[in-house]
Amino acid sequence: MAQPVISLHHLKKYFKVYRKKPGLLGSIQSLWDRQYEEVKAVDDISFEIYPGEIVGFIGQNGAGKTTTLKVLSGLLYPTSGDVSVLGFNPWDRKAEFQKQFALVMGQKNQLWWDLPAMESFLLNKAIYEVPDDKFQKTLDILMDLLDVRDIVNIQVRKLSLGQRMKCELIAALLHSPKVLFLDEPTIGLDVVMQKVLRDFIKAYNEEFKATIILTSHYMGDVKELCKRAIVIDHGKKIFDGELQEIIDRFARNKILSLTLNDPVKQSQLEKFGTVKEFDYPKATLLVPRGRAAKIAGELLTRFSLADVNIEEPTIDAIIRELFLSEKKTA
Amino acid sequence: MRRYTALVSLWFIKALEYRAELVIWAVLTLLNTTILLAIWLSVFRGVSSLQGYQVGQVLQYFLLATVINGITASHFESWRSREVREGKIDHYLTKPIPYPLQVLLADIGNRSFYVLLIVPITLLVYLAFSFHYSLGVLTVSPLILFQCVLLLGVGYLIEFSFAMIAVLLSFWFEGAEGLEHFKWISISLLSGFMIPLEFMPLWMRSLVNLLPLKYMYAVPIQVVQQRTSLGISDLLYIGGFLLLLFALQRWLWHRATLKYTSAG
Repeated sequence: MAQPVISLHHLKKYFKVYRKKPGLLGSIQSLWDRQYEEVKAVDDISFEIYPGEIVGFIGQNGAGKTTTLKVLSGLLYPTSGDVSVLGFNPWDRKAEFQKQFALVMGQKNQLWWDLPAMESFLLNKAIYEVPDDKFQKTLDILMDLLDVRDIVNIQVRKLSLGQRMKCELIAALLHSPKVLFLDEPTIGLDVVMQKVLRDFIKAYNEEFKATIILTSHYMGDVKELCKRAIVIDHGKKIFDGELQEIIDRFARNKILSLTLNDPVKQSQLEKFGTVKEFDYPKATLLVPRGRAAKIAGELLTRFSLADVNIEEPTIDAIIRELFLSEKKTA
Repeated sequence: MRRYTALVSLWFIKALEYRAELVIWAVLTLLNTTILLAIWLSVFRGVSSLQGYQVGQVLQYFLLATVINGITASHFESWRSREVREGKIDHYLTKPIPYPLQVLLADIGNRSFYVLLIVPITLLVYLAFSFHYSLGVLTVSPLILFQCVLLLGVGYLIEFSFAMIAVLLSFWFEGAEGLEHFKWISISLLSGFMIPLEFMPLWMRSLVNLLPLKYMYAVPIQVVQQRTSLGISDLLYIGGFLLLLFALQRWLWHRATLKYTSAG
């Protein structure tokens, strides 16, 4: 088996946070007496990622996703644990390492705001010491994939969010990184642009065999791009495996969508499962996963149905359920 | 080497983009220099010389101080510190050039722009005043030129190091505005930028003579005006001080990387 590109063992990252009392008195008191508390942003996480994988990093706000990516890219020094990316300790910040990865953050720009994106591309070419021919070839591929030829000479601040994000991706990929950390790359984008970026990430992964970690609040990103997902909550890993396994393990119900031929009462349907929606002739029921087929059969014999569909719940709903169940356990 | 020049040139390009600021700086430099010279003319009204300076020499002193200031003064600590606090330096930190070096190259790019702007304006003022006052002829021998270039480099490194230390301290402190002020006041008062050493009270002059800040303004101007020349002890003192500043920055940078929280 191939060696992992990224490996984390018992990674912990704790922050000391100052908690200020509200108001003027609180401010005065804070001059000599400050209350600090420890926040466990990442609390004993371990995993390994292999070459060419695209892994979805899923978690609620403040779960520790971005902190983990920042440790992996050498921005943050861990409180404890072993981390290796491409065989390097990220926080040694060696140039050989930095030339082999890229970090794209949906909420932070690397492009120069007042200059056209092309100036940032040329700067990155020089900084990463990309040879002229390789730079031109990669730039051509990326500009065509993202369809940005006509905007790269316009000041970045004049571009739309989607156009800017496309240029951010190009700036990050010009040195053909082997490892790519994507932190909310589709945040704030419309559905069309989200799709464009997803297709691009998929194409980049296939073309350059890059290893990619992706965090996103849009489950569509993860579902479309990642076979494997790591779910973290309050700094702890609660799941690591194939995305389908999340559905198998955590989706307790299936959705039965019915189209009725004759009117029935809601109470009649409630005997078969939880009625989520009822607007004759359409009805939606949540039924236990293992009994979905049997219940569908019973419904067919009991009522006159024009159509029956058995569907999986959306991945968003499953993840929501997963977090809720974790909360209850905690 | 190309990656360093690319960074310097991009900061120069960026400075050129701000056309309005270019005009403001030009007007400000012109205004500032003219007012400063007018004040000293007023001080010298009715007297031919003060503290060994004739009016032309003092005007020359402040024109040279303006040029030195344009070449050496760094003013990035406030916005760089804000970037540190707001976690906006993440992208600099992932690049294969150390952050302090990126700051230095950026500042050189910026400075080059202001030098090109300020030197011609100061020369214009020099010419305008030389019609009415004897400003004296600048004698530039190879030895004087060498000492001047060396001292300009020293002045720049001291300015840059002070500003960089303020930025590095902002990894711990909330802001660098106080530190920037402290830097500005110390350099203005103790380097000869605001007043020539000869006009200072004796106790202050003794203090300034002990400190290395005099090598930023007072000494290079005295070298040009042929009032002094650098000796071995000066060079050793300057070298030691720069080494100390460099070591302090390295230590602070090492500690800062452990401290960085990358907000946002």
